[in-house]
Amino acid sequence: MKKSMLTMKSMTTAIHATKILEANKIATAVVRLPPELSVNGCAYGIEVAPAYADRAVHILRVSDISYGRLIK
Amino acid sequence: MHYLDNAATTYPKPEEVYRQAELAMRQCGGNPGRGIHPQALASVRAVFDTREKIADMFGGTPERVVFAPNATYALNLSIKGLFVWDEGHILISDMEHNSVRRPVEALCRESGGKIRYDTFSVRGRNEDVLAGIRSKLRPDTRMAVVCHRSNVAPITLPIKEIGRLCHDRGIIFVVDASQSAGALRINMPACNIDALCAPGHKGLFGLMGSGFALFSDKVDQSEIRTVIEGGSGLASVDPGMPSVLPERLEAGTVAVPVVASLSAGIDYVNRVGLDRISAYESGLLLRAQEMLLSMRDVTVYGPIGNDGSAFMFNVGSKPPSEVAAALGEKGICVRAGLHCSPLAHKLLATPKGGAVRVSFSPLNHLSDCEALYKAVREVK
Repeated sequence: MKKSMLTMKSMTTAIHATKILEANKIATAVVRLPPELSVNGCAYGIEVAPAYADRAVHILRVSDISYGRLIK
Repeated sequence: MHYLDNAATTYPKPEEVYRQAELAMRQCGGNPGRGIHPQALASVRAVFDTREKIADMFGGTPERVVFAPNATYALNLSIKGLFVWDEGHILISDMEHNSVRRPVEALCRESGGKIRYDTFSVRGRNEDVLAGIRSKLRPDTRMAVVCHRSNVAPITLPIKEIGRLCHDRGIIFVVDASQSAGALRINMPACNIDALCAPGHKGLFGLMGSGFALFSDKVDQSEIRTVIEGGSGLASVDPGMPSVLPERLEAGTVAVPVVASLSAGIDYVNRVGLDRISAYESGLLLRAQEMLLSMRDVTVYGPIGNDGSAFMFNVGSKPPSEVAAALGEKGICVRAGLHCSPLAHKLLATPKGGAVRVSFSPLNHLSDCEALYKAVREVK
């Protein structure tokens, strides 16, 4: 199943985000961003099921956790 | 054996600290932030767990916790990272440890005299200390670096009031919490602290090799000057360090088992409670001071009866190193000399060889005070 992806600024922020999302019952997976999304190399994102993408963005905003962009 | 050198590092640690370190050694085998395989993720989660606990304890944000091998490195990162000007003025207290004095001296020396520093007195009441700070402020004062509590005497500075003074004047405020983290309540926003530095291996009961700097949310992380550059696991093509914390200041591999041990140490401190720890240590300190003061030819330095966990003494004119060695042979672990705090020794007027320092932790007992008393009597 195709996943939605949130690009993150760092691994630390990615892990912080996964903790918050999983506490809100949204399953996540930490992934390396593909080359076209990681201009400077070595960048990370979080995959979530598309049905939960908008809710995940809302939770991260309310929790003041910054992310790059949502790729659906 | 009676371990009374907790200002150097606490020993023993609570059992859960050793267990947590071993668990991390066995289950967190990957390098955190260097991959996304299960072992690497286990490590980064363990490290993040400790970041969260530190942030909770001091009123910060987990991403703003930067791990370092010790408080000295953390202070260097903070002082040299936040003083981004080529000229200006820095204030420190007249009882600072070398981990503050030396990086400040280095900044001044490397600036060719364009950066200068002054010390303010810690004598007297809080109002006197604040008046002393005000008297030393200059139009170009850009930073104040202050130890919360001395490592050789029960002297604690009013960091909340100092922080307010700094905030009102736009002065960066760096606090060395080496002797207060794990004993005193510190809330960074309430005290207007821009960077809080502490070892993990003293009052927070982590293993040696742990320390951190916690930067305030107000600090522009992308503007912090880097002191050490290298691999960060992030944006590798970029020749500069990442613009975000903690990766900007955490070049190289984080010591995962040591950081994990700190998580258990913080749990222990939270479980016992800061107020209980502080009261207990102060009680032992007072008892030990009273016992030694009851002996002729023993000089105790610094205030008597103040809250704290460390104090110094000398036996007549005996070199403190000889006294400490003799006590060591009797199973009393203490430290002699200047304790990397020559400024504090000058303030307290100890002789040239310094003094013998006794320092407690909540794992000490009254029996340790009694053993110290008996041993000093024999050494006399």
